Amino acid sequence: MNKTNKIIVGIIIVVIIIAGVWYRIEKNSIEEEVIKIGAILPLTGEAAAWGQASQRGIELAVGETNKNNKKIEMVYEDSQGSASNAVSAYEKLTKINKVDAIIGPLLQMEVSAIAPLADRDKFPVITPSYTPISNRSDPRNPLLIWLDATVEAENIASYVYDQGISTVSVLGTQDSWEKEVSMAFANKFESLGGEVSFIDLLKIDEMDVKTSATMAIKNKPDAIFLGTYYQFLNLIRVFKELGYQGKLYSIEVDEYLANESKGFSSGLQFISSGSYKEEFKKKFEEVYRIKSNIPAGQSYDAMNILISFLIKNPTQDNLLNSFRMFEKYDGVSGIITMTDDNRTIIPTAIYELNNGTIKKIE
Amino acid sequence: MFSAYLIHLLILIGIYLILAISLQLSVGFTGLLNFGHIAFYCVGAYISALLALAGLPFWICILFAGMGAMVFGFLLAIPTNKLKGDYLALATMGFSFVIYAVALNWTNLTRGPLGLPGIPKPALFGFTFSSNLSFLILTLIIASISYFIIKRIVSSPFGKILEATRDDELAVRILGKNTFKIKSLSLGISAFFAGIAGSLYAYYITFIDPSSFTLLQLIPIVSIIIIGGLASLKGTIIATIILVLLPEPLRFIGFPSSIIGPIRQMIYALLLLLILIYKPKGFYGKIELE
Repeated sequence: MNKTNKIIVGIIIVVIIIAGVWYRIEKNSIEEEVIKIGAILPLTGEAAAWGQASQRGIELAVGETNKNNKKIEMVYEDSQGSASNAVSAYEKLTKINKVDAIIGPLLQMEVSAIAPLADRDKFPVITPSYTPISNRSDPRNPLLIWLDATVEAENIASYVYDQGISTVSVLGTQDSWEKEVSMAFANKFESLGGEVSFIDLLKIDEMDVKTSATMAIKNKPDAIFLGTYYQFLNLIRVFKELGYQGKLYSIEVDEYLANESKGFSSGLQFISSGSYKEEFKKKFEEVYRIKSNIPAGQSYDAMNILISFLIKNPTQDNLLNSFRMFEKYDGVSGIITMTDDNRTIIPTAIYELNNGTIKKIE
Repeated sequence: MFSAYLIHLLILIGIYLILAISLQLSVGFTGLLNFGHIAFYCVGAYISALLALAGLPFWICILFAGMGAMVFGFLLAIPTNKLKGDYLALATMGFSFVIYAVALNWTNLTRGPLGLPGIPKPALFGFTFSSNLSFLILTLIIASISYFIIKRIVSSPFGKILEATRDDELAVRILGKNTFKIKSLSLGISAFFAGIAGSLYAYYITFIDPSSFTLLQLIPIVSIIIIGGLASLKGTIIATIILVLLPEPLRFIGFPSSIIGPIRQMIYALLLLLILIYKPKGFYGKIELE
């Protein structure tokens, strides 16, 4: 046998041994009485920070439930932010691990890829994420525990219009969520009678945003709406450089953005759902020694919703029924409600940035 | 239900195999360092998805996906004719960015970042490939046909000319051969099969969006042809199977949940490095990547 064949045989043997060891462990664990939940999260790759924060929120919820004698076992799968990996993870969790339900994935393309499978298998999936209804075969499975992007953007558009703003420039990016937010804002603002003098969707990794920023202020609009997280800091800095003095509005600005834009963004107002209960914030900081954020809070709520369904009705059919009947849940992010047209509503508020600190104003 | 999971993995192997052997044709056999392959895959997936959503039958969709990608292959060959090595890699990479940008921005056609959901399952002669097992059979048939066509090409006198063009283009031209035509054909055929793979991907996942076709997605395919060995179809098959299956057992090792994702990636990368340390030319490589 030559060296190449030896290496190939070696790899095959290693793969078989690992699979065999796993199979033994898996077989033994199945015999125990546990509720098994699979989690598909982007634990590595570009969205890893988001995925890891979500994992912490899930672990916190599971830890609390397991303290009360309920045995929940988590099986984590890394989707790496890819649709095909998310599908692989889904197939493994449902067919090999035989989990009772799945939480995740987080990215829109992953949810869109998983949705038809969950519908085909009638398998319950809950996700702390947002995906347009048009990309889901069953609007209640996956059950989305994330504020509907269009609703949130329309709310801030109404608020901006009510402030007496009549012309606005809109800057977003080509990211699916940010594009939806920017377009929903522009459409609502125009429907209220306002004028959108300029709209542009930047690339999420575009380095030079000066051209778009210059165009945005060229027609002297009353205000600028930034429907972006990715380009928020870049744009804020450029507007400062260009000497822009007008009003700025945005959406979902977290403490990281607030801190990084200190000195550039004072007076900026934004809408956000991220006002989590103090008790949760404190608990999270005690366990992880870091501050909680939006994915952690939403994942904590989504996990607790799933656990509450599983404890009452552990079968998959009953779980799907619970998804269909879901109306409201009092979570750390406030009262989460599901509308008749399957939109998830989470309480929002208007905040203002002042030298890096976030203050609730409405 | 282990079999259901295995079927899923075998489908991915089939799709990746078509993609890898077609890339092998242009990179390994013709010496064209082509980073535009992911763009052909993208073109095939979008053409197929759009036609399927418009209600056209599967065989038309997959054929048009291949032909559409082939047209782009020929078009790419025109401006890159005189480029070699790194310059060719950069130019083809640019082409990938252009196709990605088109998929992202031509929202009336592609729905941009929202992607195309609800792609129906393929149907042939009244039979719908709705189960994963039937889709696997379809994928394996198409992958086998693709393999035998490419094997036939590389074993034919034309295949020898491709290899000669790779080894010494000037000598081939001195012998009176039109190397532009040869390279264009290689790129066109390679693109055709990438389009076919894209079509199968779209039909299988039933949802596509531009982020599935970034340059990052090309890395596993390039890894397959390097680890399998350049200009080796046998090596490509083995490498495809190993690279698709290798991450899977790692899913079963019980790491603590806080490090589960990164540690699996590190082990995967380490295994790939070990393979390349012991076999720098890949498993059955005939040439080294310049």
